[in-house]
Amino acid sequence: MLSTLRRSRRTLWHIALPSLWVTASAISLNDNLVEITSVTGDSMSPTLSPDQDTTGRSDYIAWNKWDASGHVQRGDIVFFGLPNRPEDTGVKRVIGVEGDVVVLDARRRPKSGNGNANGNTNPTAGSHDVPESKSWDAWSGRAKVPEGHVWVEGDNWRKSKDSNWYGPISRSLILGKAMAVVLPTEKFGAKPWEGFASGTTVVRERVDTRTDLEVLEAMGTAT
Amino acid sequence: MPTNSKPPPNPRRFVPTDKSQAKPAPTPASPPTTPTTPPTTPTPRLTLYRKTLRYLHLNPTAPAARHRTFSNLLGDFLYYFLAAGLALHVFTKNGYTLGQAYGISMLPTIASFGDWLLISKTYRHGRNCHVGDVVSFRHPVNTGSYNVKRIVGMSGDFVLAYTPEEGEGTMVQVPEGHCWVVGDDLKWSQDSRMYGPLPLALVTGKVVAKWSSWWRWPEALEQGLRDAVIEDGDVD
Repeated sequence: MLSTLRRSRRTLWHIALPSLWVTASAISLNDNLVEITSVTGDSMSPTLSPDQDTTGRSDYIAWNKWDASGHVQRGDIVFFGLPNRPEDTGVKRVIGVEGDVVVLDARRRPKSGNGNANGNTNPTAGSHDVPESKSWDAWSGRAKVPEGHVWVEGDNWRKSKDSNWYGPISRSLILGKAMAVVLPTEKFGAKPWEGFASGTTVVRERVDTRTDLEVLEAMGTAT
Repeated sequence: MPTNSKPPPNPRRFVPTDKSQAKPAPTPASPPTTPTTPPTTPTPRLTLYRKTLRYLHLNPTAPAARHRTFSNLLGDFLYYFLAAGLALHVFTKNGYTLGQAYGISMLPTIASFGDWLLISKTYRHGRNCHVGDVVSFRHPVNTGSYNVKRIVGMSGDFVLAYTPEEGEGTMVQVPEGHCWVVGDDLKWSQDSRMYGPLPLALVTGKVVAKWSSWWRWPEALEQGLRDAVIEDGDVD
């Protein structure tokens, strides 16, 4: 009986150790380099998960998690922690970066039933009692994206809860940038989000390259 | 069998080169009736289980001879270094981590320099966080920097939007999924009064203890709120 006990302890060690290696490596890889998740919901149809309502299959995407909140460009598909539900994540496209002025699309205005970020359903009431959104008002027509934030929108304008609902999101919330589709296998390696023309108008930040002297001369100094 | 009575040998250990362990060459003039067997290693019955173990290089019988060469030592070092690195990553991501704090915004709770903070990652994303907790979070405006402040309002609470006795006294309701953080040193802190409510998804953990000097024990941080005091630090 003792030899059976020794043999089972040896077997446990020979199975437990490789399992620990695999688990720790998978966790480290997932957190720092690449994570693969499924895209559920209709907000990115038909770019991502177009067949979800009919077949129930959602697309699986590989996310690049290395320095995800670093250089984020307009048009990137990003994976971020939701501002209204901290335990959940969302997948949307970046439309505007810091300094841009986004002309709020009339089709994407939150419906009166949903209300604005404060839950206020009166369309004439602004969100000016919440300091974070004092630069963004759902019915003001324009929103300037503050420093360190991005404006995200879902490709499906009919059914997307995005920055038009909760305002610009902090760039620190971004956890990953899309690399390629993994599943279904027919679309492996594809990047269906490229070449998408968003209907939202964005006024890009104009960088003033004139020197102080030129500004003064243009203003017309006294002497 | 003699090998079963010893504990499982570490496959990475070094053993001196033993010529007798080498595979014996087949003797050309072996009599047909008595097959030659290797003199030292006994041959157990190769069941399917043992064949699988051998295929996966998990052979529980005696390990091959490993010389103490530089490349073998380097291999050992890398193996244990990688194992330690992965284990440390998993632990600091989900368990506890130590971080050095600097800045005057949390005086007198946390010193301006030299304090090491023990951060519990089990409170990440604001799980089980309450008003009065000191939390660490990714900065909402300065992407990439981490800050430590105290929560004075959770989702749904009404908080004063600006400093007391300054401004109009506007009260604000903290939106869903957010919290309101304020530094302990109101005069010199950049917090939610400047950048608005903090999304709870940015919270990485709760500061449970601080270690100010290496000759002292770590001390638990005071959680909860108490009335503000005006501390006049100016030298008259």
